[in-house]
Amino acid sequence: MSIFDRFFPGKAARVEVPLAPATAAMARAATLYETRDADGALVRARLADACRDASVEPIEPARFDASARDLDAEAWRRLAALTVTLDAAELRAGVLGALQASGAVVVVTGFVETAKHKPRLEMGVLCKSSLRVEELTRALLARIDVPIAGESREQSRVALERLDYERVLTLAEQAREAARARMENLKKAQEEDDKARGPRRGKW
Amino acid sequence: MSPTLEERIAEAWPRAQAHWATWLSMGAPVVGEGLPSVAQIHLGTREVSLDRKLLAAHDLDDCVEALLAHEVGHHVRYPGTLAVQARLRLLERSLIPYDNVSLLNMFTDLMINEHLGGTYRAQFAKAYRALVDLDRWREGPAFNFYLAVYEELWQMEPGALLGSHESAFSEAFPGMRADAQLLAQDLFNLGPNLFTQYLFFASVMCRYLAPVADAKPMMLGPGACAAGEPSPEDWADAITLSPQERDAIARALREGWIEAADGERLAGRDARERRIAGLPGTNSSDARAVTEVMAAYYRQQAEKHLFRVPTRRVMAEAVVPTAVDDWEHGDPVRAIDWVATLLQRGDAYGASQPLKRDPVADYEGLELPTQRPRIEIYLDVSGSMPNPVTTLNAMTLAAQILAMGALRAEGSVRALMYSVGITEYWSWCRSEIEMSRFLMHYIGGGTEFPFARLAASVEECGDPQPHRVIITDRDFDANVDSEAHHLTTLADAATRSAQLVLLLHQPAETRVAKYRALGAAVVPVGDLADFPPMAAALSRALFAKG
Repeated sequence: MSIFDRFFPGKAARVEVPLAPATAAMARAATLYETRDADGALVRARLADACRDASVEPIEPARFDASARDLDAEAWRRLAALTVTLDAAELRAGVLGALQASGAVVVVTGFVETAKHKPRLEMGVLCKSSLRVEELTRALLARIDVPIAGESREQSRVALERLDYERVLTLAEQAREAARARMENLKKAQEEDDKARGPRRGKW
Repeated sequence: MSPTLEERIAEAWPRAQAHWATWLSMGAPVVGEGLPSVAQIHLGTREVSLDRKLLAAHDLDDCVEALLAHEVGHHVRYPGTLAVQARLRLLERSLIPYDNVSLLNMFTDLMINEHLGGTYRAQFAKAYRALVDLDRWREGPAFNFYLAVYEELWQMEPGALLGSHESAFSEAFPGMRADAQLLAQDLFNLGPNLFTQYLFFASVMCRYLAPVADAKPMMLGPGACAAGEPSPEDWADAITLSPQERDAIARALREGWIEAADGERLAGRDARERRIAGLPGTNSSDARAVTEVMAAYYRQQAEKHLFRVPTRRVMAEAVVPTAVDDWEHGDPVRAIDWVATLLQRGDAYGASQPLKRDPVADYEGLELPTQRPRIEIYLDVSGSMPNPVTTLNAMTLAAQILAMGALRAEGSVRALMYSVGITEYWSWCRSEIEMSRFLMHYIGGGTEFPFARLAASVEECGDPQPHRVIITDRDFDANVDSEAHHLTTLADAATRSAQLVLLLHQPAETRVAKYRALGAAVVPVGDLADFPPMAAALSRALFAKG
């Protein structure tokens, strides 16, 4: 890394990440922590390794601990899974680019914040749904400002919003509410059908 | 020169099958014209066919491999067999009250397309865009929602499949995209129980069945591609809920996908009658198919209660086994004496060169008894008995059990059904299917037991006489009392028949004693729920009087 880049990190070029291998790496990482607790020291070490490879100063332990203070066990698992994806070459290149461009504080806290702000994406959900894996991948890339190959930033933003599980659940609940009147019609039709087709009993 | 359609099919066929199994026993696909859809599979014959004209008209020549792989998926997994298809249809019929609405093809297509989507999503998308006309979506919005599920599953641009109708549909059904995404997220994780997956799918799709306009719901979309009708045996088997279906219904209730009333409809006390009423053809002008299904159903039920009919002493030539000899090709397999073969030749040599032992008579003409039961059944089908085609009639089932028991013992059966008149199968029958079909008849009027026919039968049969079984209820007592000579006829039949059995529903004790005094065996039947013990009691009645 040049001295210029070190002093002016925002000027470094960001590396685009192809979505498919990144989500595949995330899916594999999720399965690792489906039934296993996270090891905080290992998480810190992985992030520090990435900083070293990007030739940037790692975040101070106290600062990391402060940012991760509110994480519950599930969020720690999520954070651990996120750091495991650094083993995938495509994603690692994007993260290293982000580290060089934005510095360790932004990227490392980006990892922590992603894990913290996606509480619905529990490991069980991630292991069962490719959509949710894509959401977590996109959420991480958006937060550490890594562009996705073949997409404009606006397209990535819209895609992430479309996948936002919290929002999807809220909208789906609204859809269910809106469907109540329509379901009443179905119930009426069922009752009429019951009368027409229901069992007729003799003296038995 | 570009390859012909046949050449393209031949080239794509192995790859299409390989998505599902390394080896499949399926014939090569055929090309036809005028088919109901661009591609289809007959689930009975497992033949895949493609429509040449439709493929060309919709410019789907580059989708041949995807279409073939899709059709194979119907055979291999979704629904797999016509028996599963029959169960899914009856499950659906209890949930969705519209005759012209079915979600099954959409469901199985979605399951297949999700499996194949990694390879063929572009081709499937192209096929849907080409084949579906969504202009009338307000009358059948379910298919729009279905396409939205694909858009969410494959994270395609909103409108990639819905086209110009996307915004109007989203406006009419706010939140539908979130609903579609959750369906795409959760459906495929609910396996392997296909019924669980179907109930979840249907519970969501039901919210989009009602038309936006005030009209009867209708279905849009391409024609169904899984063709073939389940056999009567498939339908009959499907009348009884399977454990997998019960599990699926219990889970659907637990998860809140369906309401308690739906659960009752699907698996409650009257579930069997509802499923019978859901058979194709019920309440239509042509009820033959239903009768055929119900006859198969009674045969299956009778199978559970089957017992061996007592022997009739008929003389046949007595034979004893001879010494063993080499079995040769062309000799009956049943002539092989496996014990002697294994003892004398061991399992290796014996298996390739078995020994036979033919039976011969000690001296020509020596006769011993053998089993040839004959049963004559008089079945009350008056209005006090339920129609066996619409529900399980225990009396009809009893007759089926008796008939099958006799036929399985190499015997023969004839039957007469009576109410205000009679309908009869009065030649001795040796076919289970023929007799079970006949026993599905129903008259439904008053009760007039045909004593004249009973007397004529006793005279006609001479010796040996058959077993005679009368299956009825208390109305029989009034029939007996209506003419003085009826009692005499009954007494004569009781005396001369191999056995005369009265299978009476809730008889008066005095009457039981009276009929027994005449020499008849009487089996009192309490309630429908007592049916299995009743069948056992019937068996006992035939073995021993009183």
